[in-house]
Order: sequence, then structure tokens, then C-alpha cells
Amino acid sequence: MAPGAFGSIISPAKAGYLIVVHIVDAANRPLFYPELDRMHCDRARTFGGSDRCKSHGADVIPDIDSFDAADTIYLLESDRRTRRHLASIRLLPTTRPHMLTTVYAHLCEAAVPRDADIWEVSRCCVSPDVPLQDQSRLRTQLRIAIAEFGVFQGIRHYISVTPIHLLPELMASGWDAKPLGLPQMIAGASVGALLFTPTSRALREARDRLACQMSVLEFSAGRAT
Amino acid sequence: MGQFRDVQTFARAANEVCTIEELSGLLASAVREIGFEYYALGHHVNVVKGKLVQIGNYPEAWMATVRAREYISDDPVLMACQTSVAGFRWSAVPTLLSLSKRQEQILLEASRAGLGDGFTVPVHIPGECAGSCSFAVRAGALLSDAPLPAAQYIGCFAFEAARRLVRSPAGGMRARERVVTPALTSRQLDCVVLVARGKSDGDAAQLLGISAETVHQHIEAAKRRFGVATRTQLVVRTLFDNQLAFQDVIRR
Repeated sequence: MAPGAFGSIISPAKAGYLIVVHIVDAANRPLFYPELDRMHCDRARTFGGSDRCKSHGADVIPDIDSFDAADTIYLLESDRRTRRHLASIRLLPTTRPHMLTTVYAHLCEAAVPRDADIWEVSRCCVSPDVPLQDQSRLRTQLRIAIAEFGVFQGIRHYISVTPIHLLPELMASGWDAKPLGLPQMIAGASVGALLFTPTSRALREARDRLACQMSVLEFSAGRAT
Repeated sequence: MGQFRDVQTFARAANEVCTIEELSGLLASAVREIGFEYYALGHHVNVVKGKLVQIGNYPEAWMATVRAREYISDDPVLMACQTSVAGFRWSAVPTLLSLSKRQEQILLEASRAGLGDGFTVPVHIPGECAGSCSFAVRAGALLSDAPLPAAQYIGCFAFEAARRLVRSPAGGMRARERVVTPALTSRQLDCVVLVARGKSDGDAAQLLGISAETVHQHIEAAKRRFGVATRTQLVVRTLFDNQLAFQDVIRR
């Protein structure tokens, strides 16, 4: 094995072990084209069919749906040096078309909550190339970023279609959860529609876990929001 | 709609209970509402102190047997939780692990003691002891699929309520005693993975393209962060805290 080939794809940062989370939106999207391309490929490997998941890089049919528009907002973690996508989530305001209303409405017993301060989180993806020992940390950083983005944008609640086995971890991280309907089996996994409210405890506990007390969000020049 | 309303009611009430005893009573009523008779909720450890919880209403005769014969450490349902993140019916346990004779005996004796078919919701929270919430019907009663979705939610909300209670100041853990998981750098984790795989500092140095002395320093720094004295303790702590996964260490 070549020297260094075993090493993590995440370069340890000089000032700790924090990968910043970028807010990608319509205004700064061109700055992130390489990362977004890799994100759609990683999403295909994560959410796609088993055949597509076996492929790598350009061989993969990118996972892009009607909610991936030019003005969609993503929270994105990437390796600055290689422009490689590491982890990301998609944020959609519920005042516009989003997955829970359009695709998964059957998971809700009552009307899907929609308001300016309720956004949907979907397509949470950690690149399958990220070593297992780094994945949990990237997910925790994404959770911090979602909470910080909520504070920044005045978002009080997030809705999401969530695998039920992740619910204890999310609640333990300080996210208050309210089920919107009973869980159902989708693609072999038990998933449920939930409304989450990030609490100050959520931020504190996630930051404790990473031994980090600063914001993980990076506010790039040229962003619209 | 009925079971969903039961779940909503339970989630709200669980969020407000102030004692483990209250939670225990609430859970006993909720499981009967959705069609079960028994429940057991807890962390998967033998020693209960401080931040851990174990509550339930299994038949007392069965619990006495479990304690007398030390069945907890071999309990096939609890062991199946280690192989599944998703909720599972007890009838599926033989598909999740190969049962020893002792484990077959445990299932048989549980049934004789009055525990029928059941459903278990495993709880895996990084950095914490594994746990679960199990629901069971009386021996001889039929367990349909109908209550399982509600059981999944009730198990999750009940476990979180129990966590909150045992970690609150009144539950024996003061705010200043909050456990902060030490964070290792990526390079430290790379070194710990190789230690866990049995590599020497020299071998790890070659694989990582750094000097053996640097590997040694990374390991020593990681030990200091966790406050442990030996490499074995370091590996155990990183696995326990979910900073490393068993898949990182064990290649099949």
C-alpha cells in the first residue's frame, strides 16, 4: 500500500477536526458545481437501486429529482482540497412543493404541516467513500448545521421522513420529535413522518460531542439568503 | 387513527413524567392500549447504577428465574439487538442469531412462565450503552402485525423519557457531570484502527506514511484525551463511543 493511502479522506484540519458546512443556494451554486455533482452520485449510491450502488463515480446515474432545483438549498460538507462531497442534506420550505406532501403524504394521518417557519429535511447523505469512523462525526456536524440554519433563517420546525431506528439517537441529541403518522415499511425499512424541533440542548449536546463550541456553518460570499 | 392517537397521547405524557415510577405506570397502560400485556425497557447491562435504567412488568416468577440463573447475559432477544437496528418480532430471533442450547432453553422457559410472542425495539445511541424496549403478549395469545408500528414509536419515546429522567439532576446526574465525549482527530483514529487490528507502531507507520514515533505520539495523545492508561482501554473506549465501528476493525 502506498504511504498515506490508508489515511482518512478527511484531512485533519490544523485548528481541530472540524469540516465547515457550506450553505449552497441559488446565488453561490456555481461555486459548488463539482461538489454538487459528486453529491448527486453519492446520493445515487446511497438511495439508488442495488445495481447502481455498486458503481462508483461517473458510472453512477446521478440521483436528481424534481426537488433538486436551481434554487434548492443544501447544507454541504466537502474536502476543500479535493472538492470532494463528504456529506449533505437538502432543505425545502414547506410553502413550496416538498417530498412529504408530494410523495409521502400517506405517512401523515392528518394534513402535512406547512408554514414559512417549517422546512423539510431530505436526502441526508454521507458519501460511502467516507471511512466509517468519520461518518458519525459528519452526521453530527450536519445536525448542528441544521439547527444553526434554523436559528439563522427563523425556522422553528423541520419535517422529515425518518428511518425509525434513527429516532432514539435524534431525540437523545436534543431534537424534540412529534410523529405525524404511524411508521410504515418503505423499501425494506420502517420509516415515519416526523416534525422535529431543534432545542438549545440539541446544539449543546452535538457541540459537546465534537468538542466544538463555534458555528459549523460557513457563510460564503455571494449567498442570497 | 386509534393507535396513532395512542402514540400521540403517550409521547406527550412521556415528555412530562417526573419519575421512573410514573413512566413505568404510563408504559404499562400504553402497552395494554395497543394490545400487549408486558413490557421491559432498559439498558443492556447487568449492573444498574447512576445513568442506567431497567424497568418492566414481566411476570415476577420469570424475573426471579432470570436473576437466579443469570439469563440476562445470554438473553437471545437482547443479543439479537446487537445484530439489528430495526424492531423485530421474537419469532424472528432465530434468523438474527444462531441460538445456543441455553438460549433455546431461555425462550422455552420464558414461554412456560407466561411470556408469549413479543416485539423488541433496539435502541442504539452513539456513545451510550445499547438498550431496548420490548413488548410481549401472554403465552398462547396471538400477536398480529397491527400494533407493531405503534409499539415502535412508544418504545422510542419511552426510552428517551427514561434517559431524560436518569440523566436529570434529580435522577442522580448533575449538569456539571455531563459526559463530554472526547473527540479524536482523524489521524489519531487512523492510528487507533491499526492498533485495534493488532499492528505495531512500525507497521502502522509504514501504512500511514509517517514515522513510528509520530504513530506513538498520536496514540499517547488519544489515550490522554480519553484519560485511559492502556491501548486496550483506548480501543474499547473508541468502540464504545462509536468513534470506531467494529467493521473498521474486523475485516470479513
